[in-house]
Amino acid sequence: MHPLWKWMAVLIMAGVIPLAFLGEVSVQVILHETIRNLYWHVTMWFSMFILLGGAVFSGITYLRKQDLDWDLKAALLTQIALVFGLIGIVTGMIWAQFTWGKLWIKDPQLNGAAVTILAYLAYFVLRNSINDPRKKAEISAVYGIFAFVLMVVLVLVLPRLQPVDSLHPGKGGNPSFGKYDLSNDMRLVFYPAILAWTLIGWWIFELSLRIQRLKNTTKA
Amino acid sequence: MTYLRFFALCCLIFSQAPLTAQDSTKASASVLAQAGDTLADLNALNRGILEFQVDLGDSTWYQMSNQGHVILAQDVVEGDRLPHLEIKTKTADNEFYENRIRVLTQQGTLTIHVSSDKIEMATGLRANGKIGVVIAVVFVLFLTLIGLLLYQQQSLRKWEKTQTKT
Repeated sequence: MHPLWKWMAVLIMAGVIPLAFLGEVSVQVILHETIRNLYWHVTMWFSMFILLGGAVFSGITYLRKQDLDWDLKAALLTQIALVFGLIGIVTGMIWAQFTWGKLWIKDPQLNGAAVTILAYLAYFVLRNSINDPRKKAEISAVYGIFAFVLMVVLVLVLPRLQPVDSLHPGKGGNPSFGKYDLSNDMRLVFYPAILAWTLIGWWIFELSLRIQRLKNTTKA
Repeated sequence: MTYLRFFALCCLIFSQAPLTAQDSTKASASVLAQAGDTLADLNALNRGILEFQVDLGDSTWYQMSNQGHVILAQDVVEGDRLPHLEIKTKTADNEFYENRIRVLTQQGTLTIHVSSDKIEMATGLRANGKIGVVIAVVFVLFLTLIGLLLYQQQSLRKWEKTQTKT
């Protein structure tokens, strides 16, 4: 990763942090100032999606090339994306406490997110239960593709269906945040924040990859 | 059509001095409210309105140019289907209010529901500068993360150099 990308991420966040607290936001009942959580909660899940997309790509590349380095990449990207996902869940729970009055409710979107996280936790259980590196890599790659599709269905498709009564914005027929941000003040902070967190995630991935490669060389 | 008429009316009322009931020219038995009748006095609920926003898929805040603060009716005739109107206001003390106005006509009677909710924003926290402390804490946390990554990067470089030598 070129140092320019790293510094770009730092610079973007240096702008995002003050704007996230001081910038113009849409004034809404129920949401009040919690609307600013959009910059933390939603950006985490967007970055997680991008990183998991990278993991699926790495998995497919492993299946095509049979190079174990691609399996390592897929596993590390999934690991980092999972951390982002867990932060997203926690920030979402805090948001739910203030707007819905409960940390967790029986909602298709929330339950879909929980199942997704569990499916990815199972990915690591599966990896650790297989000793043969080739078999581990193959099964992990296939499971990784399955888990990604499952996530798309459970988080992006199912809660959007009209009969599904979801409270989550943008789901179950509810308006998404685009409706509240017609002046684009929030988008100016939101999209750069996604880019910055994705770059930081990629930076962590690159460092983890180098550490694992060194460990593997030392073992050999 | 009624919807647009109602919206146009609101803009008119908010940007000019309130009209009076004498403007009505169509008084008849079926007219439940005449043009100029007060439907809602938002100032009594919100106090000192500076700006307002009408929820019609438009997020523009309109400035109050005069002292107009009441929602007046055009002629409301029995059977008219008037919209549920949401008006957000920003008051002189920098507070926000969400006002919902619903006009119903049924069996020769006119019912007006007006509810007003104060939208709690952290204006105080921002005004007294305490938000600066929150931003500083988040900055420290973020810089710690970046510091850790840079430290890890440096350590890795040394490790990789040692590895290459051996």
